[in-house]
Amino acid sequence: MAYILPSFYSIQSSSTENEQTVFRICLNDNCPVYEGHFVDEPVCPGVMSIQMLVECASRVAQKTLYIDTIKQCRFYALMTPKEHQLITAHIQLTPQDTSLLLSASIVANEQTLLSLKALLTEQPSILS
Amino acid sequence: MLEQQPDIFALIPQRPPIMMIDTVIDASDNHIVTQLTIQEDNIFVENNIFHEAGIIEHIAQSAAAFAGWQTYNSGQPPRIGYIGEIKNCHIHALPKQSHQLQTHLQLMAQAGDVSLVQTQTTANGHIIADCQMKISLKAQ
Repeated sequence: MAYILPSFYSIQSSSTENEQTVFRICLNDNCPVYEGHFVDEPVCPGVMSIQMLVECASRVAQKTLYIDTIKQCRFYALMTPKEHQLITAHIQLTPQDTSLLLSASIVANEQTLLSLKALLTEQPSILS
Repeated sequence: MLEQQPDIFALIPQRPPIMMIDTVIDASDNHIVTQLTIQEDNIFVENNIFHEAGIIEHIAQSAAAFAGWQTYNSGQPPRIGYIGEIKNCHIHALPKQSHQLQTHLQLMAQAGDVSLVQTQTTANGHIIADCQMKISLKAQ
């Protein structure tokens, strides 16, 4: 399985109930991405949060999944590794035609920071 | 085409290792064209393939560069732009290391510090992604 920038986060535990899997995740404020995002003001890059949710979905599906389409992703509040050291990722995967529909959210301090609806695929096209 | 390419460090607040634009080749009040050549050590490259998150970050930074361009000539530091929403973002194909990405961004609507933009991204001339984004600029 692909884990881009593994130092961005670590999964503490996970549990599944009613087709939803909840991951408890610790964000790492020493991740080198914060050297550039932004200087003296660490903010989690939105795409890294999306990638983290896709990697959680890959764990649920037990295969590497790739983004085919982001139908909608809303960012309700900034996520920072200092204010949001502990977060939960809520993952629901539903088969849809040849892909998987991911409905996911990130919650911290009882606040939803991000919600995502995306189609994921096992076999992305690779440009030759 | 711009006669002189602007200093990318003056246009966007992102810095290595997460700088996903090399150059701005064209810009106006309602559009911008950016480029990125995918280097081997890019953090979004794995097994020679540039992953979706890297493409989306490149698009988001194109929007940041567009915002930066609006204040570039005033000599102000670039304002930090945050993604508010991503919609209908289709990834058609994943490029590889050494491919050159080019993103055309068009401003669709603007209200205060919030901009709605539409983008199309090619890699070595092949369309690899289309996307809509809402970007909010941080208050100064």
